[in-house]
Amino acid sequence: MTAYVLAPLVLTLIWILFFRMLRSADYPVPMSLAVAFVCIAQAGLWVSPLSAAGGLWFALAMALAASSALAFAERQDDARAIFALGGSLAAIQLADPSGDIVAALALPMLAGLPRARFSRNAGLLLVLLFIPCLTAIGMAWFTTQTHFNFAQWLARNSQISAASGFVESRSRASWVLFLAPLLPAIVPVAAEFRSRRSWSVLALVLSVVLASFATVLLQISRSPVIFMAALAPAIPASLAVWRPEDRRTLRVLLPPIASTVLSWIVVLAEFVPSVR
Amino acid sequence: MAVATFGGRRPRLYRHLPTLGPHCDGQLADARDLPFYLTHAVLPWSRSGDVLLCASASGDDGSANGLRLPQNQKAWFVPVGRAALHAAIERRFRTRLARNAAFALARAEPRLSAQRVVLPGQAMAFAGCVAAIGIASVLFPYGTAIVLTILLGLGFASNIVFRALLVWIGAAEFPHPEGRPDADDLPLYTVLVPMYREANMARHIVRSLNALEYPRTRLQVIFAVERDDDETYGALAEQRLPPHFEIIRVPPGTPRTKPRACNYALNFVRGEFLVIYDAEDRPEPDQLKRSVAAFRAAPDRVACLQARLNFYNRRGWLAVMFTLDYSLWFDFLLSGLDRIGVPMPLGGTSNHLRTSVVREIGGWDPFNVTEDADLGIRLAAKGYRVSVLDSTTFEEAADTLPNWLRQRSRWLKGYIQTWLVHMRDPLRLFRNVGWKGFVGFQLFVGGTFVSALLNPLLWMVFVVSALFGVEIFRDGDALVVARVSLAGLITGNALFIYLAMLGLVRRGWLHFAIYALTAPVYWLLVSIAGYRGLLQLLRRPFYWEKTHHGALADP
Repeated sequence: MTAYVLAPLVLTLIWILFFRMLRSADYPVPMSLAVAFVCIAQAGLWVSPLSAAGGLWFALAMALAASSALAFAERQDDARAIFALGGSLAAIQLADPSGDIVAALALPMLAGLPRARFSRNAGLLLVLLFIPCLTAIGMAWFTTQTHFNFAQWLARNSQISAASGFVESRSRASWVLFLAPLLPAIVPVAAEFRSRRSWSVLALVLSVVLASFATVLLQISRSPVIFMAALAPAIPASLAVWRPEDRRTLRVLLPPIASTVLSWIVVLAEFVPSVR
Repeated sequence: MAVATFGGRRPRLYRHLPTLGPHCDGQLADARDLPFYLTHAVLPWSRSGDVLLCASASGDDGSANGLRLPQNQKAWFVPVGRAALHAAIERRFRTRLARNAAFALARAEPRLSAQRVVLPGQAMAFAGCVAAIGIASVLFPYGTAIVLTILLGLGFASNIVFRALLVWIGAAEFPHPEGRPDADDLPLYTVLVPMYREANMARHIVRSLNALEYPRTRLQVIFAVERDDDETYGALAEQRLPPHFEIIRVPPGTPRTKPRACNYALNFVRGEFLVIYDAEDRPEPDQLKRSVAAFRAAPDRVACLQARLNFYNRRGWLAVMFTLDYSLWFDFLLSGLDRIGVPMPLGGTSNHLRTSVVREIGGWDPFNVTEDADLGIRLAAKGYRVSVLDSTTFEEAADTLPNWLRQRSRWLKGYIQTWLVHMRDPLRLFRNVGWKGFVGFQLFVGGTFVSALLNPLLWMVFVVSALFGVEIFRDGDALVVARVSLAGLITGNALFIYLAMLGLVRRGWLHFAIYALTAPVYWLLVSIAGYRGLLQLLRRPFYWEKTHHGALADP
């Protein structure tokens, strides 16, 4: 399957997840449609398939993780939410070479252990850790035995390779600038700062940001655009956390619009100098 | 003889007529009228001139309409207690009732009875398969091994994937009926407790049943106790049983199984609904009311509601592992089966049934040692549905290895019996339950014992490759066999561990999650029980291995 088919398919799946996230937060259908469309227009999601990166898979896995983290934050006795969270973290591990770091950082933060007995909290953590740990062990074994790295293979084979190198970062500042589209998300997250759902979004964002810095420190070759794509789901997730009085007002649309505009400004200014 | 219609007049109970003598004249009761006597709680007792004195426990003026009487004979109805009437019916018709309890299903639908373990056609098919595999193994040893391994691996994998799917589906919130029916709207409910050599549980079960929140006037409790089990009978009698409790003595006979006792007691069941409890059970007090509400909200074709089962003695490794097993089974897997409409093998206790349907399908199969699992499949094959009831019955886990092995061997033997019975005519089963039901039956009932039997084979490959390295299989194509087996073993056990952990989520018992890491050891024990059950099926197919209870009857 070529990237011409795959990329739109994955984008559609991401859009569906955005829409579902908003609907589960009781946003009306027209508003959910509108916000999901604005969010899917994020520059990272469109530019990463054009780069030599597998950012779209990463974004899909992150959208899954955000959706399941929100569900888990709502109900910790829901087996589906636990399974989905573990599965989506495993998907992150498979989707990108930096996924192991993201999962390792995100999980303890997402677990947000309740005030319960130590053995119960340990049990919850064990259930949450099980799939990601098994995935990490499986991938490590597979790589040692066959010298085949699934995440790298996915990154190499799932984008328009003819356009490789189309998107290049101009300076080291791009490693900070790719965070700019997240700024508008601060408003809804700050409004619900004390909620567990809000913490889930923060945990995911933090883990991706820290993982991106880790890749720089460890000199793993990853484009900032990939992380920009991976963070795109944070915008609808932050809106899903938000509980404004009236979810039909246009001000709900402001954060995603601001974020999308910012993302394109950053990309055009920093990553695609040849286009200007 | 003529059927008494009393000239259109309703017969009356003559409350001040001569009392009945101590002995019932057995010749007056006609065996053909036995169902009538049982349904209407009436029995011809003695003759006095042209008057037939009949014992009646129904308290209903219309009870005798349809009673067969000699010409010009008058019938007087004398009220008696129900226990006395049942005792009289038992005395008179004991042999016939016992014979029916054991053989009614085998006579009516021999293909659905486990009285014959395999039919000649099945035996020939098995022999043919074994011969074909044997010949192929001689001619193409590696090829046969690879094909068999891949086939078995696929079967193992599909069983596990199916279970994972059921957990996902079963984890969804169920729309359970809100509210409870009014006290005036509650139907007569029968609680049936078959007991055998469980004198030590008498106090416990009486206390548990007394705790049920259901009007006593609408409740009938029957203890079915084997006639030669005087100890249990005595222990129950000592409990000062309230009037709505009865003890039915089951005549000796073969097979000596719980379903035979249930079939015998079914004759005396009066309730619109019926539930089976074991002696060690402790149902949630509002379970019967919840059941009525669920039955009322469900369509008529829902013939049975299976309550969730779990344990009150969650101490010690084996009991905790059993808890993990049950939590997964009853909280998730059965709910998943319910959701997708696949035939559900019922659990051993807390099956709430529509009495009329149980009678219609011929009761339980006394030759099947998991008669409950078989009943669930038979109900589905007859077009009925089984659903899950959102209420828990807590029972005592077998927490010693010999006891646990006995119980699990019986269950796996029963699953093999059930599979063999319903696969006698696969096409008929397919037509009756549809493709989804058919595949679900293979994966859930067949898969349960096949995976138990297959697991040690995979472990053997693992142990050999761990001791000598996978290279030992490098000869020819054996490496493929080893790799497929290992992949099956590792992924299978990993998923078993994970599902066992997830099973704890609903009840918030995550402090037991660490035990799930030992699930592979538990599944090895299940395999031992599986082989034990298989051997027993060949040697003593109807032998009911009794699980001993009572260690923690009153914790």
